[in-house]
Amino acid sequence: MHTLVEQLGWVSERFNLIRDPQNALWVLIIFNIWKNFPFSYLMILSRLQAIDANLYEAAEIDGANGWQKFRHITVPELWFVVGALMLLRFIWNFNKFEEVFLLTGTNIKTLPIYTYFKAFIGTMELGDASSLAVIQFVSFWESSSST
Amino acid sequence: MVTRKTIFHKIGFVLLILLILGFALFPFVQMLSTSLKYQWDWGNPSLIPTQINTEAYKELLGIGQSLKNVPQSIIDLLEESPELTREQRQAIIARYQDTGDVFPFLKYFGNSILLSSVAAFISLMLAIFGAYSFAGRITGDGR
Repeated sequence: MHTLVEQLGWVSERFNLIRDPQNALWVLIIFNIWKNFPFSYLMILSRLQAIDANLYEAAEIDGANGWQKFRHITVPELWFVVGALMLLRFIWNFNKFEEVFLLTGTNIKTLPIYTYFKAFIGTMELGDASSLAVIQFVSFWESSSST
Repeated sequence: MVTRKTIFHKIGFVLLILLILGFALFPFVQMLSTSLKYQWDWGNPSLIPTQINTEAYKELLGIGQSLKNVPQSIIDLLEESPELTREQRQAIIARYQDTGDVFPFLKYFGNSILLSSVAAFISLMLAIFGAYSFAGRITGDGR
């Protein structure tokens, strides 16, 4: 990657992408997308393939054009899968610890990282760590019950 | 007709559900219990704290000022001095607090939200386009 960027002449010297917290966050986002894309892909693909072909035939008989079939059949059929995936992906990413910690160490300050440090590093403030975990839990409980 | 066997089955089923529920919820109860305990109470195996401590929540959410590092004599003095204004109290408490101890909750929360929402959204968009093309649906007829 470095060699490629150097040969393209974009940078004059090598640099550590994950040293700067701002860069590290975007590196982590790209890594996360790459790692978790297949699951969403498979779920959506399976839903698309399971849509009843009769619905499209009925729409054609009724004179629906391509856009109308997409808008009134494909999108509603996909809607709940996409919604569930978005919610699950958000929750899983929010609670993600190991990827963030192993890839960037302490450069990215997210809540699970802070909880870990409070609980197991230094003075081991279990009370602070537990209260942070409770706040995360309650915020998710609230967001999931409101959606 | 409700037989004795049916009643035992129902009771057994409810007990099983309660057992599984208790097993699943125990970590959360333990977490809540620890968050409300004082440091000297952590060794106490009971789930009910000896004395309720909400300082950690106040500190994390920035509600009021944490009295964590303030000596007890100063706290007593503040309580016995109703003539002090709120600003004066805050100024006295701030003397005993290390600014490095203040937890920037919103910054951490914002980073977590940014990471989870952007990654989820882009990943899902790529998945939708990829799956749509792979399903052989780019035929122009809306399938």
